[in-house]
Amino acid sequence: MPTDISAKFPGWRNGREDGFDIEPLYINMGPSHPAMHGTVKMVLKLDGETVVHADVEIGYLHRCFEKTVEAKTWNQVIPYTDRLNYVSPLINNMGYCLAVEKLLGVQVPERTDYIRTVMCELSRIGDHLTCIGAGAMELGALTAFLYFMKAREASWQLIEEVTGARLTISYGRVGGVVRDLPASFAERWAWVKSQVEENLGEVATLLNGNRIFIDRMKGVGVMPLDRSLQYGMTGPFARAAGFDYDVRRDEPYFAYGKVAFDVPTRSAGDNWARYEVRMEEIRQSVRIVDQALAAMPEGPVRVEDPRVSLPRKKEVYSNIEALMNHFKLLMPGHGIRPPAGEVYCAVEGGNGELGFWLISDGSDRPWRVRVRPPCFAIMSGVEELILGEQLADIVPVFGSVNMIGGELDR
Amino acid sequence: MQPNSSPPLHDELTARFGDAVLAAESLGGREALVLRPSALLEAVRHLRGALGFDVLIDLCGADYSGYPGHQGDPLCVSYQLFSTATRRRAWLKVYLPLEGARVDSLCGEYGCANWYERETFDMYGVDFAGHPNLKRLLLYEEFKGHPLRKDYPIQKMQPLIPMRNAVDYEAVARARRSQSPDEAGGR
Repeated sequence: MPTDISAKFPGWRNGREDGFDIEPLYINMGPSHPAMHGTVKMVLKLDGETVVHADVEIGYLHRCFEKTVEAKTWNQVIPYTDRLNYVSPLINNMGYCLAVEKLLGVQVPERTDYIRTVMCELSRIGDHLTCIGAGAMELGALTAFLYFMKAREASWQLIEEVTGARLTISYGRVGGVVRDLPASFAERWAWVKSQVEENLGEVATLLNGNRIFIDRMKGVGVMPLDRSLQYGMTGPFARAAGFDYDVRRDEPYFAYGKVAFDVPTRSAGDNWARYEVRMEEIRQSVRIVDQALAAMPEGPVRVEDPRVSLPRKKEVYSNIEALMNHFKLLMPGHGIRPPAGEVYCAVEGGNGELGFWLISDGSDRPWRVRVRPPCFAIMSGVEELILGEQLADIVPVFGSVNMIGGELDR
Repeated sequence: MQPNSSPPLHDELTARFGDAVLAAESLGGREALVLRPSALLEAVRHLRGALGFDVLIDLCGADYSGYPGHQGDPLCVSYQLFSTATRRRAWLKVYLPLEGARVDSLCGEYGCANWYERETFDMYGVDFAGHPNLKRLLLYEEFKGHPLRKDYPIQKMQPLIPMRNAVDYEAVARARRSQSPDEAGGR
């Protein structure tokens, strides 16, 4: 793993052609730097303005997620998963529920699968809008940012109508979702869709032919396919380098196997390719939501399984079995108790493969919850990615990584 | 999702490395191969070179001390591999003792192993032999112990700067009550 420029570019020599050696300049970029998203520190060695050595330090947002949840019940982990990713919390929420369901062997009702698909794609739209918008803003394109925030606001308002919250949604449950979609959902989605598509078009017009934006994006931050595989990268970042892999298509979960969508790929592996892939993925997400809403069957949204689902209140008050079931699910030491075993279950997060490795010892608390954060692998390649780039180019490169401190540091 | 044409990994690895595969665990519909720690690097090189497992999706630890029914060494390092050519996944595990846990580093094979192994060292204290820069990743350098081990108390605090003494409001209120209104300046 080269962290020094001579390893990435053999034949590189520090200093000037005329023989005068320039003393390298060391810069601490972050953690409290606006472009470092508040949670990453880079120790940079510069030759002029070229980065010749980089040391990336993470961990400023470490909240002991994996240790904390070992002392919580399986249900109590759900709110913690919201906080893993603060731009697309629904995907983490649903991914965790899916993994616990696999551990339990619970099959959720079909309607739930469609609802989860719709909500995950809404989140993904918000995730990509934030990434592109903030990336453009950091290059001075504030208008693009504002347009995308407007579109994201629309999708977040819809999420708020469904879940009751914008960020701390806790909408998923083991065995289903909290409540059904509101009756006006399809109508509201039509409005969100029009907003997203309108703003996508506007931003594409603003950015696609913009000389400044193109110069800062094209050919900058190149991560070729072989190197991105070497770093285990997935998601839009790796697809922009040509790694044609998407968990939604290749190992379908929820209702992804029943909808048609394309997985956009590029081969350049630079900032521009990542920008294009994300723009295209937003369009594909809109397509998925349209199809899932059209094909969504009627039915319950929680599985009728006494091991995971609370009985209806009416039943609890009127018969003893339901009352006992209620307490069995809520009392300390009882609750959801998956059989002893392990499962590794992956979903496609906003940034790539989001994996949950759960170990159960048969008790009401998880033995181990491991999160495979998608941006961890990408961040481990950033040191190599920014070598040889200009100091100012770190900002767009890092923006295209779409680092999410919440899941990176856990 | 594995193509039927290719033989199971278990057979392939056993045929080549003999007793390197200690066991196969069936976990959530997938097979995890438990390898002898000393054979890990060779096996991974073979998986990467000959069988095309070119992506290291995940590398992490787990502590099975006290896990019901678990026998043998408690610390586990788990490897998720993926092959871009055949779209297969492989799951490898090695079990290590708590004291002197040591296994070969995969940094030479996979770039991202560098950070994953640093995190596993940080959280579990596994020593990865041959790692170029094995230091803590998420926690600070002065941190003592490895927090995801089961013997690390969940409430334990290790502040870098000593905590200020919290004001004991109960004691303050008691002292106030015992004073006469004049002394306490009660108005």
